[in-house]
This record gives sequence, C-alpha cells and structure tokens, in this order.
Amino acid sequence: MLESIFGKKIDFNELRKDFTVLNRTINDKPIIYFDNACMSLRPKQVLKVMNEYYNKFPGCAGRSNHTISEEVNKAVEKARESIAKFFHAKPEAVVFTKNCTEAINLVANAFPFENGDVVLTTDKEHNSNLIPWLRLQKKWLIKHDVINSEPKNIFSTDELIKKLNQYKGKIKLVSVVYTSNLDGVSNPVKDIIRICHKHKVKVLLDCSQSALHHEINIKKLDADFIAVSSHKMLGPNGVGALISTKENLEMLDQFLVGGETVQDSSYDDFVVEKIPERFEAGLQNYPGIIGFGEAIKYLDKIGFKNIHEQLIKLNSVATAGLSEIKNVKILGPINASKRSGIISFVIKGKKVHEVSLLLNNMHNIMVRSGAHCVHSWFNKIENKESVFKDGTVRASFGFYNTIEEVEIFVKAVKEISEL
Amino acid sequence: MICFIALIVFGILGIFSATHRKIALEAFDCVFRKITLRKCSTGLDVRIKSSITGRFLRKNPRTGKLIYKHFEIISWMFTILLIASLVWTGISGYNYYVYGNCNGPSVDDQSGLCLFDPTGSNAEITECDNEDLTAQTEGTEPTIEGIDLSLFPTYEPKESQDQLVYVGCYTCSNTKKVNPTINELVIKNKESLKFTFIHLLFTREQDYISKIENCLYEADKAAFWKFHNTLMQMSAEQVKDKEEVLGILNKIEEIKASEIIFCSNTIQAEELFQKQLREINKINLEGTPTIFVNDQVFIGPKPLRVYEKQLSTDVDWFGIGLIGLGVLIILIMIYFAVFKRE
Repeated sequence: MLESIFGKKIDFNELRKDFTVLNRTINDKPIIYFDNACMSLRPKQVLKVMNEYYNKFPGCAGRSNHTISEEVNKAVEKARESIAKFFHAKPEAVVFTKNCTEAINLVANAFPFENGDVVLTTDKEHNSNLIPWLRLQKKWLIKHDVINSEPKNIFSTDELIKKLNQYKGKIKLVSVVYTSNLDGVSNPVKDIIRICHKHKVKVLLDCSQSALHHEINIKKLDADFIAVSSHKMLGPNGVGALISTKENLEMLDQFLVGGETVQDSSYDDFVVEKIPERFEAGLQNYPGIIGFGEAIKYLDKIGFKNIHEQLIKLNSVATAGLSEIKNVKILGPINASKRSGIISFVIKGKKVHEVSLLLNNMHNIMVRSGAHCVHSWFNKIENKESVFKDGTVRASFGFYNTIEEVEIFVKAVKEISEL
Repeated sequence: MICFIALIVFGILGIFSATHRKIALEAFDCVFRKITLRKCSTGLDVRIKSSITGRFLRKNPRTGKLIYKHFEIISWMFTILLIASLVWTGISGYNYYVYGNCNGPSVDDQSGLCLFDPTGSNAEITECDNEDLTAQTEGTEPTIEGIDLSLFPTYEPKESQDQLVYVGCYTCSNTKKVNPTINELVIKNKESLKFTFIHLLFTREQDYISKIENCLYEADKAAFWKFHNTLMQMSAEQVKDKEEVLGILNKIEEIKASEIIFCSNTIQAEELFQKQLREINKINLEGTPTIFVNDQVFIGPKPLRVYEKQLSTDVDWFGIGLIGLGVLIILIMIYFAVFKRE
C-alpha cells in the first residue's frame, strides 16, 4: 500500500487502515484518539515485524553465533541504520535506550561535568529534561538555571544570551525541548545551537514531540545530542535513542554498565566496549528496536512535511472551533501552525480532569488533562494565578486522525462548556 | 460527598479485589481530608462525577445535564441515605450481639426479620395450645412480675445477684435446643445465678410430669435436677411414653420411686399443680423456650452471649470498644484539622 503512495499525495484515510485499534468501538461508538503527545498508535507493519521476532528469531544479539542470533544481529543493526539515516547520523552514533528520559539521563550522568559547571534548560521542560539536572544540582555536581520564556510563552534568545554571558564559560550544556508537549510550540533550536556553539556550549535536544513531524537533521542542526522515544514515533514502548556524533559519544563516560558494555574484564579492571555498545548495558529490547526501525521506515515513506501539514490542518479546525466557544481559553499562540498537533486549553469553571473524563465517557474522545509532566511551569508564580493554574486539557493529534473526529471533539467541548 | 459512598462501596468490593482496594484507599484519603477540613486531593470525586454524568449524557442528555447540575445535592441525598442505612445496620448489629436479633429487646422485635439470622432460628418457639392455659393477651409482653416463683423448682446460691427463669417443655424441640446453653450458663454462674425452671406442659397427659417434679423437688432437690436433666436429654417421643418417664425414677438412688408416684397422686400435689397453672397463665407466654434473665425476656433459643449480656457480672467490652474507637477517631480528626491544616 505504501509503495503505491510513495511519491504521491498522501491519502491519510488510507493510512488510517494501518492502525487497527482505530476500528475499536466502545459503547457502539468509535474511539477518537487524541493523546498522541503521550503515545502515538502503531501501524500493523510495526506490530508485524515485532511478532516476527518472537515467532521466527527470538534470540540474543551480539552474544551467540548461531543462526537465530545472527538474524537478530542483522535486524537490530538494520534498525540502527534506518534510525541513523532518518536523523542523518552515523549508525555507531545511535545508542538505544529505554526511552527519551533514559537518553537524557545517560547524558546527565555521563557528561564530563566539573564542580561549578552550569546546565541551562527552558522553563517549559518535561520532567524528563528537568529532574536529571535538578538531581545533579542536589548532589552539588552542577548548577541548574532556567531560560525564562518571553511573556507570550515563546523562547527568548535574548535571555539565553544573557545567561551565557552571565555565567561566563561555566555553562557546559544547554538541554532544551524542541517541541513542547505542553502547548506544541517549537523552540528555535537552530538559533539556540548556533548561539551555544559560539560560546562553546554543547546542546542536547529533547525531540520526543518533534521527531514525528519535524525534520531532525543532526548534521544540519549541528546538534550535539538528540534524545527520542520510539513510542511517540509510531514505534513500540520501551525503546528510545540517544543520537549524537562519534566524538561526542567518545567524550561521555559510561552510565549503565554490565553485560555487552565491556570487551574484557578481570577481578580488578575491565576494557570498555566501543561505541555505541558501551552504553547499551544488558540484554536489549530487540523486538522493540526492530519495531522502532520499522516505524522509522513507515514515517520516512510518508514524509515529515506531509505529517506536519496534516497535523496543522487538524489543529486549525480544532483551534477555530474552540476559539468560538465562550469560556474556552487556549494555551499558547492562537495560530495553530505554531502549535503543531497540540491544543491545550481550559474551560473556565470546569476542572480539567472533569473535562477529559466527560470527553471520554460521552464520546470516547481520549485526551490528557493535568500538568502533562511540566509541573514546574504550572508552579511558576505568574502561572499559578492564571486560568491554567490547575493544568490544561490537551488534545494532541496524529496524522491518522480525521477532520470529522476533530469536529466531534469541538462539538463535545461546546456541550461540556454549556453544562 | 460522593467519596463517602465510594469509600463504603469500594471498601466492600476491596475485600475481594486489589483494584477496588486502591480506589477505596483513595476514597478514604478523600473522606478523611474532608472531615478534617482539608481539600480532597485525589481527584476521585471528579472521576466519579464525570463517569456517572458522562454515561447519562451519552444516553439521555437532558437527564445527564440535570444530574451534572445537581450532582452535589444528589450525592448528599445518597450519602444521607447511606449513613442512615449504616446507622441502622450498626444498631441491628448491636441488637444481634446483645439480644440475638436485629430489632431490639421486646418480644415482638425478636420475631422480626434479621439479616444476621435469616432463618429466624434464634426466635423459633413452640407455641402453646394447651386448653388449660389461656392464650397470651395480644400485645402484652411475657412477664414474671407478680409471679410467685417459689411454687416452682429453683436453684439458689447463697449470694445470688442475678435471676434466670426458664420456661420450657420436655417435648419441645426449641427447648431441647437451648437447654445445653442454659446448663452452661448456670454452671458458669453457679455462685451468683438464681435459677428457676417452669415446666410448660403442652398436653394434659403430661400433668403427671409436673406433679412428679414437684414431689421430687420436695423430697430431694438433687433428685429433681437429675430427673429434669434426664428428661431434657430424652427424645420427645420417649417423653410422651409415660412408662419410660416413670422408669427414670427407678434409676435415681436418692429416692423411692413408689413414694414419689404416690405423692404425685395426692390432693396436695394436684393443688400445687393448679396453683402453678394459675401462675403460668399470668406470665402471658407465647411458647417455649421463654427465658427471663433479670428484667429481660427472650423467646427462642439464643446464643449464650445473649443471656450473659444481661447478667450484672458482664462487662460490656463491645460497647466500651465502640466508644473508645469513636473517641480515638474524633481525636485523630481534631489533630489533623488543627495541626495538619493545609
């Protein structure tokens, strides 16, 4: 099917058929899945290759030398190559992790920090890109500081430059989110990297939300580290990757150690394995990695531009609809094209969890509510006094969602606002 | 308020399922916070409200909207009903513990429906149909007030503190059912319990048993209790057989059977028996067993604890425990409301 659409205009309704879960009904109504920022759905192609692993070659990679093991080796390395190609990196610079959080933790724990070094993040970071740094700060290893957004909640390059000058060479790493899971706004990462590199500061990008619909070319961006999660890119749970360059990875110490991370060991010492294996401790999630590789292939065939356009189209309908509803307030820019596939909102006078549960119970519309693991942003003094103080309801679209689904969603929000 | 209902419902379901146990704990946290004047932080109330109203809104939007708007009032109504139901259940539980039935101390209450005793076996009696005994006056409770108990066989310790009057018959199944309990009660409290047995004869053919008992009691009290216990252990059919009953006398060494039989046929025996009948008529009996422990009357075979609860020597640990628990809960609530206020 994909072969037939390759190079042509994408028929998203046709692609939708690959996501079998969307055929599910609850109380005789189809489900409407708008929680893609938390986890995307998987096409049957991904599930197929994962099943193949268990049915045909359920062995270990990199250890045994029998046929099944060799098949796993090949499949895993093929996946690594696909992922590397997708991010324009070298295969040996792709380290498999459990998820994006683990990838960030790898850098946090393995980066050669010295006492007094400073790490900067934005004020809209997911806990996965905040807590690792706060933990290091608590252990007196680094100082963590925040680049505050502009009043309209948009990244401030002036503030970044101000901080870089303020700490005068002490900043070793800037770790920023590419696309915020809070409001869908993307940061100007190319500018951030350019400015940081000018100050000889390394940059880590949290690309969990952006990898699905933004081109992430590590070469063009000149990023030092990129952290991604498979489950937000049509892939399986429990797999992520840290993508970097050979030089940057060589600079890192080991984080998790044990099986496969060493070439040799004695009772006194060990010889570290080459990259990327030195960072992949223990038996890996092979079906997950293979599934991740297949998901990447699937995404690559559709093309990030097509996906991005579809998400903006869906979000524009949602934004236009919700903007007309009295009492609804949207978080972030009103222009949907600046929020990719995410629309975060509140209905004044209604609790956010109540709204999400009513959407679910009335129309099977699955959205997320609360602080979306960005508690720190909601705990900012200015936000504590805003309508968003108790969190937001977040609808996040996937390219397999339809305009009809968005219209049902808008109608349902209107119904709830009138209760 | 919905959390309170959730606490009870999921608390019960939580006995059988770990998933419900988790929700019950959330509900407990929510209720505890509310009664200690703090904000419920689990969001369970929102989840329940949305879940209930969402279903109605899906099926019948008008009803759904109505429920959504008045959810707090509806929750309060159900909570009040639940609390009332719980209070009644508590009272029923207490009544069952103390009186052996859910409804209370009066005889009418004792025969009512009780969930803890669904078959009603605790209140089963064998009803009187002896024409020599007048029917019980409707609505009048059985009483031993004004009854001359000295006419009936009695065991009296030197320093009696409590009184047990046991009205039974030797051919009634319910009397036989309660008899071991009464024996145990008497043995356990032999230093303090005055015990009187009143034989309620169900047919005229059994007059002779009462007369023989009276003669035995007069001749030798120990012999009377031996005769009484033997009759209680015999089957109803055996008791109906006069020869078999009289045969017991031959086995009691302390007396001469012929003298007792002779005594039972005298005018004096008949007079005493008639006096006893007159007294029994005044008791307003419904049937057997009817047991008076001090001022409290019980009909039907109750468990031992029920009779013991009426003795002056009993300490009401159940009540003390309940009061203690109540005081402890109030103290904890005050502590959290005052010192842990958020």
